[in-house]
Amino acid sequence: MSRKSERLVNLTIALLATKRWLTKSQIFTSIDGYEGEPDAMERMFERDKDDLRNLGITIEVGSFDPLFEDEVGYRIRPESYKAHISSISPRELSLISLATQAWQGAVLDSTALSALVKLKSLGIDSDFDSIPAIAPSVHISDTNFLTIINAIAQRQVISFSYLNAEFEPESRVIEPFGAGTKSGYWYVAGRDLDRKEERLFRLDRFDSEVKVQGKPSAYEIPETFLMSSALSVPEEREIATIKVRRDKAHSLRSKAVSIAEGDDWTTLEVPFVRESELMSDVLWHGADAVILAPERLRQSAINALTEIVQRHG
Amino acid sequence: MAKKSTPIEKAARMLDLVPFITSHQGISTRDLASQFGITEDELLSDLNSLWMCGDNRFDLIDLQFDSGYVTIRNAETLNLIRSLSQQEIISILIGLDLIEKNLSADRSDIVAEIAALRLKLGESTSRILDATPAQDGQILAIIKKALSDQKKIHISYFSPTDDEITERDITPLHLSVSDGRDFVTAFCDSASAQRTFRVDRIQSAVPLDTPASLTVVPTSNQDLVKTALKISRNIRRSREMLGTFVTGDGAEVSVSSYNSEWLSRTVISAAGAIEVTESSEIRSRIADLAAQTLKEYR
Repeated sequence: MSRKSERLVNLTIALLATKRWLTKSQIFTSIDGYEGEPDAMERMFERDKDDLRNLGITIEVGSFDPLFEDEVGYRIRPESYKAHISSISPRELSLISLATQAWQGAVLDSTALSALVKLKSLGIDSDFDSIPAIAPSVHISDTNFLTIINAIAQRQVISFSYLNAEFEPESRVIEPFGAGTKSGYWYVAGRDLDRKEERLFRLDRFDSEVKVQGKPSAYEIPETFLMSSALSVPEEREIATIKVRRDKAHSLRSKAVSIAEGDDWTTLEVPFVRESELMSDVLWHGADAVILAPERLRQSAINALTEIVQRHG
Repeated sequence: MAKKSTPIEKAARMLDLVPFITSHQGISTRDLASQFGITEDELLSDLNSLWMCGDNRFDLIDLQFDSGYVTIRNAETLNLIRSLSQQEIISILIGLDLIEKNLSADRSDIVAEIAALRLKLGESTSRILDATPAQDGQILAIIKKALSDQKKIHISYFSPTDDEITERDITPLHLSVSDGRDFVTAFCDSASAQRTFRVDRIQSAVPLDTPASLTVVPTSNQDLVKTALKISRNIRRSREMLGTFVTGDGAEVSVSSYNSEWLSRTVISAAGAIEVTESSEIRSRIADLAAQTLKEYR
């Protein structure tokens, strides 16, 4: 176990320190841990290169002499290995530190911690006293989220099974563009390759593990794409007039754009995008909330209530 | 703490330990372990491995940690902070977004700093992320402070099921997470009992100077009511309305809840898509509620 990690570190040191290309045979003789038959060492080296690449360390391949292409050598450029964030103020470091705390117990917990450790290595003090007391928290433990953000970073197509409105699984193939959270739910936006348009998916409606398909850099994220727009509420909204009993229906009151208090009843003007959602919000309050307008909505409330009475009577 | 790390995770940590120790010479093994989110044993194993690293032809890393304090020399080659991965950048950017949206209007200085940080971390990654907190981070911070200071807080709490906003003095006892949301269990003075509150329904919180009431009162055992339901349309949405209380596949489900008021409200707000099949008591309760509501439309 630990031999492997030591070999990876030694390989990194050797490839970082060298000014010239190191050939495989030089690597095998100078670095501890490459043992056994030539074939076995070759395979070990290939795996190690992949592992370092997965850690974000780029190994360059080149040759000493362009005329002899078989003499391939390897090295890691310090310039590509190291972080290029140098100027961070104590307050900025404190904000980053606070930002990483949001992930405690969630799926990016160790990722956030390693980011913070790297930035603290700059040797800057933090300055927590000058930032307000905020405790950000996210609680996503869904490992599909990891797959999705890695796919977005690599621009890789993903496929998954998604529950439709009738709770039936449908298979989807998308180019993921962005991810985000709102009202406690997590979303991924992307271009649905079968439906040929941009769609938004909620992570808790996924019915399978996300699979990554094909190669990296398979598509480009449109320059106009903004996750904040993908998650924003449409501008076109209708207004419903609803009367609610005095001191009742708090959640409707908090959404109202105008409130006219009466004796027993208060009249609210409530904007809405989806009829079904407004209907649920109103029906939740039973006899404490009544839709007055638009007539279409008032009629569907009457129909729904009649149906409920018939079914349960 | 964390699960056992893989050799690759361990290698990554060894690489990151070098620049961290270099800028924190003399740090205790205890602090160092906690900064890296690992146990002291894991850290010692990392340091032992690191101590043996270095190429014979180059220099061996000079690492001292016998005394319980760690110093490092002769690690020039590895004394580079590794570049941040996309995943790491994403974790920071989402956290910053949550902080920004929880700031009060008078902190434009911090909004500007967050904007500057986004530029440093990468504008192109920033625009593909958007995180709006499900709750007020300032309220959660007040609860956490009250927990550690053992003080009371005053809250306004909204209960959708009771359709009321109540004012309470509470002593926070512990925080928990359920179904992706934060909850605080507290001793509530008004109820003289232990209660659990959903943090996103706390509309305001004010720290009080009163010391905690730490009377431990057993929670009253409410009866779970089990109900059988049939969903006739909008199955996904109906199941989501029933939330975590739902069991069963597809359209025939059962729900266990402590609160029949909550259940009747949920069924009626599904606008006819959900029918209670059992029990007859809840069936008639829902029929009555719908009939009364219908009367208001006549």
